[in-house]
Amino acid sequence: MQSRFGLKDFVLLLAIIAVGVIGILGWRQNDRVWEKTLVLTDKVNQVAAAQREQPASGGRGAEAVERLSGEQARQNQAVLAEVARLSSRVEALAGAPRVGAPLGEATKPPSPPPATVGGPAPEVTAAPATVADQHDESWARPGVPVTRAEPLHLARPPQAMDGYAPGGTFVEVFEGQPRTLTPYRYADVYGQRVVDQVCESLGAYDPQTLKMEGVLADAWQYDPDGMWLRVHINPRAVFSDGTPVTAEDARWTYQDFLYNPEIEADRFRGTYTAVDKIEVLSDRALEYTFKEKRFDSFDQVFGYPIIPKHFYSQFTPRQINEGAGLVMGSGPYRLERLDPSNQWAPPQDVVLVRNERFWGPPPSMDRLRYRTIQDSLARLTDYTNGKSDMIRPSTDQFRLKVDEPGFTNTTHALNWVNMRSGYSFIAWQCGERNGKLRPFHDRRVRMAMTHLIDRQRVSRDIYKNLYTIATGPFSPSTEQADPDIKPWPYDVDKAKQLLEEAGWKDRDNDGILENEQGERFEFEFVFATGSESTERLVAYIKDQCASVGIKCTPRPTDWSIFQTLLQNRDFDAITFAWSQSAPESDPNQIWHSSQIQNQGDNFIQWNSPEADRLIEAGRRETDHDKRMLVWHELHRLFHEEQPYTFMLNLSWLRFVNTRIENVNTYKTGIEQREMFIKTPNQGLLN
Amino acid sequence: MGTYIARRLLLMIPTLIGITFLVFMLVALSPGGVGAALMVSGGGQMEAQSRAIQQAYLEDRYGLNDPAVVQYVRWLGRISPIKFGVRDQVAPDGERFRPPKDVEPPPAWSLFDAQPPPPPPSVPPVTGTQEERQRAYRRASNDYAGSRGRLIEARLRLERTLVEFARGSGRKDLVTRDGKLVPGAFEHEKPTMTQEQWAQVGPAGEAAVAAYKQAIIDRARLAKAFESRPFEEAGVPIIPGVLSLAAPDFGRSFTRSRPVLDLIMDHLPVTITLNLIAFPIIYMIAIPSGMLAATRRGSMFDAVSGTVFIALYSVPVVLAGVLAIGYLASNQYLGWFPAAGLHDTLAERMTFLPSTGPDGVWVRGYLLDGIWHMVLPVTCLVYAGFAVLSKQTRAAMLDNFNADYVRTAKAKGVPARDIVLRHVFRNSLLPLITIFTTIFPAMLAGSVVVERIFTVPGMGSLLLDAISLRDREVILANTLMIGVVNLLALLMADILYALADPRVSYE
Repeated sequence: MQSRFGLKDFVLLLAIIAVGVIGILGWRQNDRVWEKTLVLTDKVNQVAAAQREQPASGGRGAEAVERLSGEQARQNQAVLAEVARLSSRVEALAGAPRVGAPLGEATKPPSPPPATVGGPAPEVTAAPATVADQHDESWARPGVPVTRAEPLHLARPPQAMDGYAPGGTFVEVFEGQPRTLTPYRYADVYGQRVVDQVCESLGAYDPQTLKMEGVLADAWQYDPDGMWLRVHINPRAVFSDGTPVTAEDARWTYQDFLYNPEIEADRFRGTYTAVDKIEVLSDRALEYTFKEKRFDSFDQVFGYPIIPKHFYSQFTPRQINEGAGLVMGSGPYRLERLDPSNQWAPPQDVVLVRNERFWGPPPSMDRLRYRTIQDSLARLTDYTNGKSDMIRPSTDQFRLKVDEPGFTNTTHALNWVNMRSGYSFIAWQCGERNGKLRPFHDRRVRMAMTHLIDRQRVSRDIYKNLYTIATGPFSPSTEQADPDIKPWPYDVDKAKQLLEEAGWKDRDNDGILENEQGERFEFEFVFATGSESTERLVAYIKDQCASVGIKCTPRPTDWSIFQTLLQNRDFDAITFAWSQSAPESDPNQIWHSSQIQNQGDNFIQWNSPEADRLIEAGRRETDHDKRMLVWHELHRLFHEEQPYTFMLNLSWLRFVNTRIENVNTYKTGIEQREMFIKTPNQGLLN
Repeated sequence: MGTYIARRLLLMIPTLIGITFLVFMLVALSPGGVGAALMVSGGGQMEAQSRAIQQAYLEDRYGLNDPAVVQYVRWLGRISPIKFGVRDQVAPDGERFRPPKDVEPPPAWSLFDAQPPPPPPSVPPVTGTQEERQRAYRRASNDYAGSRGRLIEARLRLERTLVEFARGSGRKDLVTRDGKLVPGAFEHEKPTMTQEQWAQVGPAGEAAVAAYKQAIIDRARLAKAFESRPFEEAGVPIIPGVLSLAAPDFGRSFTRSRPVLDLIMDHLPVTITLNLIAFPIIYMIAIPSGMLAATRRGSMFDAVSGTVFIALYSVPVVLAGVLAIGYLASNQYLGWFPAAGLHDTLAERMTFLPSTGPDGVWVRGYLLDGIWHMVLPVTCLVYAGFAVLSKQTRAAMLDNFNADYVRTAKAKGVPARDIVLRHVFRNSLLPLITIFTTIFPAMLAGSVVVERIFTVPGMGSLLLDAISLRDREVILANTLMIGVVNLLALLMADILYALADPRVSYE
């Protein structure tokens, strides 16, 4: 008998493999069950700790703890039963796996900060937070009025809405993978989205008025000469581990984190430059001294997120540089898993959970989940399948979907201009390129170009009428822009006339304009590859130029080369978009003639003494209303000079599922904390 | 055989150097360069803020302002297991420490200081317990980073004022095309400056000189602290102080600041899982159908399978992926499969195995969920692969069917089944081996298109991101890894030939 691999051997082999696989699967199952139990235990401990700190809010919280511990017990049993069922194949009954019950939706009365909370809380001599404390101004400099912040509030609190229900998970989709979430280390809008929910600054822009309002700061004094700022931090403010926010944290964040040379935060060091010295006066009060009198010094100090010293100082700079998920702050949400040895890392979803110790008005949702889907069709499909609550559609997708019958019944389709939305433009070379003046140095030529472009049509045909026409570099949602300025109309005759005035005529009847020296009007138009809309825009402009006898040569260019071209001023015309991050942008960087040298961002080499004067005057003016008048004058000047042809205000587009209620658009963007989920305990996403 | 393998292995070294040199130069010479790509990683919009200083920092951190060949040699030194000179030091958690970088004196030194740049000062050596030395090292490292940063800024400011001065006084020959100062400018000639110009250049220059003097003091301190060996030295010495052996260091990703090896370890399992599912499917369908087509040559099956496979082969993956998402994943049509990702948002809370949940609802569990999400990506990976393999099998089998030994076997009365499986198939294996060995590199490389469309965080998307951001370290590590695996696979193919066919010999 020949020994060969027969059917029986095969069956035996299969049986052995099957046993092995079952063993591995069972082991994995057990592991997961165990992890779930740990998470639950952790949650209960969190809530319990938060409750111990806040005895004043008594009843409700204690109930919540009981409910949660009860749930945990039930869940534990369920989990054990499930294990038993799986191993012995016995049917077992299971309890409800609902985690993260709503808690503390009642506004908490002010309560004294904890003297010491378990863990590495620093020694704090707790100033008893009484009514007297509200008026304690011992920290203030005499003779300068103290500004008091209004208590934290939302413009439209969800609790006051019909059908309000706390809880649930909000799922938002990112188009790209955030690379790191650590404050001052992130390099994309996604990191910022997350940090905005987890960390707080001394202040924030009011969504309706765009005035800087106190958040962590409950009172402050601003030097009338704009050279110093004294801030008092709200004694109720605590980080998500219960440690109070102190003046030392604020100082440490700025001087020893942001300006720590070994931490790779260069990107942000370029943004926060105003502060010269910081002096801690007491646990709660500190004073910033500025390098010079600048209009945005105040906003810089109030704008930087404050992070806990006791948490971050346990890491070496290398750990901070390499860590992707070290985010902790005093905001309404916290990272679900803040474990330095097992951090969040890029391919995973970012999950934020409600900060049970949050000291402000509590957010309605239990969880915020951020997923990444890179393909735009997959993103839209995922959204229409009901797997996500909010996406950023492309202009085509927006128009297509909004026109689809019934779509708006299930979606809030949002399109609004806000302070961050930015604008697209065509920049004309107003100076020399390779030692030769370009035609656009003449104001009349630039004006003619603006009249030559039918921006209404560009908006309609290329951008589906979603964007409005821009008149200047300031966002129309802010006070910096002058609302009285109307865009130049589309007028080819006017353009021809202006060109003729500037000396551009067709002198040899070849269809192309020449100037007196006989040079033909030719220019090179640089644009970034990869965007279909931009390519169509460029093709349109080329046609328009040809119709009046200008030769436009499009030059598609990779993004990474833009920087070099801009620095070398090596282009005739270029198109892209600027974005903003504050209600008041500093025009110095782009428009002041000093930025022509030094490779600054005045890459069009536009030299206008009048603009320089206005920019300098505006930057020095600390009075808000007076400064706005200066900016309006500057806006008018841009309008008359047309150093750029301002194209469109790139408003924000969002789809939000109608299961989310109280979705409001503001000049600051969209207010996550106001939204709530109608039926938080139903549906796929919970 | 042994010498053959050894020779092949040794030949791999120059081949790999050639490959990486080519890739390195492609990255370094690509328009805009490495640094520029890092600056515009934000996408379509740029925020107006001072970027020059950021770029200077980046160039300093990664040595991007050195000539490309120098950078390549430096990279090679890190990657090579044989190290020359002073050994790196490693902390227990894997943090690496190198001897401190050199500093260069600011340009046009002689304008601002009568003395030439001072030599590094001598500082006392660091002593104490290991913990004390580590603390001293960390302190010195922080100080040096600070003074180096200040020097970078001061130097940048000085360079700008000098460029401005050179342009203003008609000395454009001293300015390079990208607006930098020509090296060695103003070193030997003293330009005449007006009071006004000096008011611009003078303070900037003095600040840079002061910053430099501080920086060399801090550097000397750090060098001494490093010499005191605060951490364990990496590797094994062969000739102490000259030659040592140590593990290759793949460096850190420019854009993510994480060790490249960590990134690869994050992305590799995903790609391998996908391919471990995809490749067996291809083989199990393509080879049998190729065999069947060969035995029934000219039959209906032969024609149909050939046509279908070639048709599938001709469908671009991009189109197939988009169609799959549009029709199979959208609830408006079939909606059978998820549109993106490897797991459902709820998967973390699922049990591992399918089970009935608390309220009697069937939950598919983590495992099934993963499989369900992989259906579309795996389909896209698989469908184009049938044609080549089945056609190869068919052709090889047909060759052998016409051979003499098959006729002999038939004449002998061997059953047809045995002829196909034991004789013809075994002899048709040779071309299949060739194809088989190419799958190993493909397994690690991942599919850029499929991973992009279905948002699968695998090697393909890692490499694509790295390329678009010119993340040199990631690109090079990837190239090196795939290069090594490719060369090893080729070697393995040659060895397998020898084993499968006695006529092949390398002696």
